[in-house]
Amino acid sequence: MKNIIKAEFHKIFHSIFFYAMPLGLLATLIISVLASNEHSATRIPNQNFIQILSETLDFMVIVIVCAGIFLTYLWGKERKNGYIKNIAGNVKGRHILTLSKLITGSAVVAMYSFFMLIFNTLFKLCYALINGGKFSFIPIGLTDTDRIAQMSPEALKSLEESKEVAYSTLRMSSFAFLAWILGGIAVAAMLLMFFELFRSPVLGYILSIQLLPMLAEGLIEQAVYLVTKFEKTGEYMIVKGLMKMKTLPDAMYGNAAEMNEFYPNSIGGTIIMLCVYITVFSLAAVFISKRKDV
Amino acid sequence: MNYILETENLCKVYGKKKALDNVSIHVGEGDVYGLIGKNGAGKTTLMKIVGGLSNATSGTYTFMGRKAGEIGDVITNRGLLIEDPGVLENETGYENLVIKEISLGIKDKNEAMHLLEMVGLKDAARTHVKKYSFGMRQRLGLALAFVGNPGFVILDEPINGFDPQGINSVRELIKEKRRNGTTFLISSHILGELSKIATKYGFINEGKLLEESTEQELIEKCKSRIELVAEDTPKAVTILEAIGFRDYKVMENGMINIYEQVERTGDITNALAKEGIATIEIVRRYEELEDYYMKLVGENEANNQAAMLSNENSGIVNAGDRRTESK
Ligand SMILES: Nc1ncnc2c1ncn2[C@@H]1O[C@H](COP(=O)(O)OP(=O)(O)O)[C@@H](O)[C@H]1O
Ligand SMILES: [Mg+2]
Repeated sequence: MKNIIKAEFHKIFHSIFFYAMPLGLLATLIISVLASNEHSATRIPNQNFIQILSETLDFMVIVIVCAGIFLTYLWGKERKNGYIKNIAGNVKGRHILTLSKLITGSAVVAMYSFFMLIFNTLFKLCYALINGGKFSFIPIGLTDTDRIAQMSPEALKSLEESKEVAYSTLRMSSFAFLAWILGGIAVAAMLLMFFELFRSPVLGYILSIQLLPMLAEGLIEQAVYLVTKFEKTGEYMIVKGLMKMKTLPDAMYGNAAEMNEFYPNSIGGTIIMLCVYITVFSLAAVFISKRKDV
Repeated sequence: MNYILETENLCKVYGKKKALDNVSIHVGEGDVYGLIGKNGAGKTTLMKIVGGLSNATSGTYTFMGRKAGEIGDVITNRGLLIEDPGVLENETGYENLVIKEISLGIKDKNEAMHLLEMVGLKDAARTHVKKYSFGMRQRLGLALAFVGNPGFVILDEPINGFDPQGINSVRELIKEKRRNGTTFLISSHILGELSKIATKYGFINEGKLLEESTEQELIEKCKSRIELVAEDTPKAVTILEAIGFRDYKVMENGMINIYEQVERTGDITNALAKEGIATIEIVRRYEELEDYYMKLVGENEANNQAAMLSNENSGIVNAGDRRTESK
C-alpha cells in the first residue's frame, strides 16, 4: 500500500493539471480581492493573519471545487487509458487502490487548502507593503506597546477583551479551516464512491462543481422536512454545514457571547459529522471496488 | 506435477451471458500455455480473473500453491498484458515503467531502461507515449508486464499489431524468458501463432474448455499419415517392410496407417502392383493444427446444437437448422 501511495503521488506531481489548479485559485483570489476593494470606501492598509485566516474560509468552496475537478481528471484518465490494469494484478486487494486514492486525494485537498491560505497571506502581505501598512499576526492595535502603556484601566480592560476575541477568532477560524479540509475530503470520498460505482468521470465533474450536492442536499432536506417536519436537516449536510461554518468567524467579530452560542457545538458537531461522511463514503468506495472488476 | 496456476471450475456470468463455464486449466511451472479460442471465446475473461482484475462468479484458482484471495506477497510475481496495453499518454515510455516500479517497490534504477531495450524501445524511452505508434504501445505494454521480473506472465493476444519481424522478436523474447524460468499464459485466436512457442494448449470455445493437451500430445493427434486399404493386408505389410516402412499400424478393419515417409504414396502403389496386389484405397491425411482445432470447435458446436435441439421439443425444431445455416 505504501508503494501504491508513492506511485499515486508520483503521478499527481507529474501532472501539469495539478499545478494549473492552484494558479486558478490564485487568480480567483486576486480578482475577488481587487473587486471587493473597488467597493470599499476606506482602504485599510494594515493586515493581520487572524483576519486573513478567517477570510480564507470564503475561498474554501473554490478550493474544494478545484481539488474535486483535479481528482476526477486524474482518476478518470487512469481508468480511460487502462494503466490501472498494470497495477491491479499486483495488489493484495483492489480496495488497496481505492484506499490509496482516498489518501492521496485527501492530501491534494489539504495541499490546495494550504496553498490558498499561503497565497492569501502573501497577497495581503504585498498589499500591506504596497499601501504602506503593517502586517502582524494579531490585529495591529493590540500590538501597539507604546499606546498600551498610556492607557486607562477601562481602555486596558476592553483591550484585553478584544485580545480575547482575537484569539477566539483564531481558534474558531482554525477549526473552521480544518472543518473545510475535512469537508473537502468528504467530497473527495464521495467522488471516489461514485467513481467506483459508475466508472465514469462525468458525474465526478458535475459533482465536483458542487451543483449536485447542493441540489441533492436541498431535495433531501425538503423531503425529510415533508416527512418528519424536522427543520434542521440542513445542519447535518456537508455543503450546508460548511456554508454555515464560513460565516461563523464573521459573527465572531460581533461579540464573544454570540461566539459561545456557536462554539463548540457547531464546529465540533460539523467535524464529527464530516468524519462520519468520510468514513461512510470511503467504506462504500472500498466495498464497491472489491466487488467490481477493474 | 507442480502447477503454478490451476483453476477450478471458473465461471463468469455477465448478465445473462455465460462468458466462462466451468473452466479448469493447469499451467505447469515453466510452461508456455497457449490459450486458443475464437474472438469472444472467453480468453480475456479467464485471464482477467487469474490476473486479479476481475472476480469469478463461481469457482476458484490457485496461484503458486495459494488460493485466490490468500495470495499475499507472491502477488507481485505475476505480470500481465490484457487486451490493449494500458499506458499513460502524457508520460514517456520510461516514466510509464518507473511508475509501475514504484508501485511494486522496485529499487533497481536500471530496470526500466533494460526493459525498454529488451522490447526495442530504447530510442523512444524519452518520447511521450502519445507519439508512439500502435506497435510501439504494444511493446511498451509488453515491457510493463515484465516489470519486476515476474515468474508468471499473462499475455493476452500479445502478437496483435506486430509486423512479421516484430512477431519474431516477441517469440524470441518469450523463449528467452522461458529459459530463465518464466511461466507464460498466452492467448491467441490463431493456433499457428503459438505453435512455435507453446508447450501446452488449452482450447476454449463459448466459455468452455474443450481440451487441454501438451504439445507432444497434440503433435501425436495431428500426425500426418497414409491410410492404405489393400486387397491382402498381411502381404501388403510384408511389401511395406521390404520397401523400408517401419512406423505403421494395422487397424482392426484392415486399414494400414503409415506414419512415416508420407510422401511415398507412389512407391507404395507401385510396389503393391508389382506383387499383384490391388490397392483399394490410399490417401494421405495431414491434419494441420488449425484443422484439428476447427474440428474440436465444430464438434463442440454440433454438440451444443444437438443439445439445444433435444431440449426444444417438436414445435421449434427448425430453430436448430436455422442456426446451422447462419454459421
Ligand atoms: N464486461 C463485459 N460485460 C459483458 N459481457 C462481456 C464483458 N466482457 C466480456 N463479455 C462477453 O464475454 C464473452 C467473452 O469475452 P472475452 O473473454 O473478451 O473473449 P475473448 O477474449 O476470447 O475474445 C464475450 O461474449 C463478450 O461479449
Ligand atoms: Mg480477448
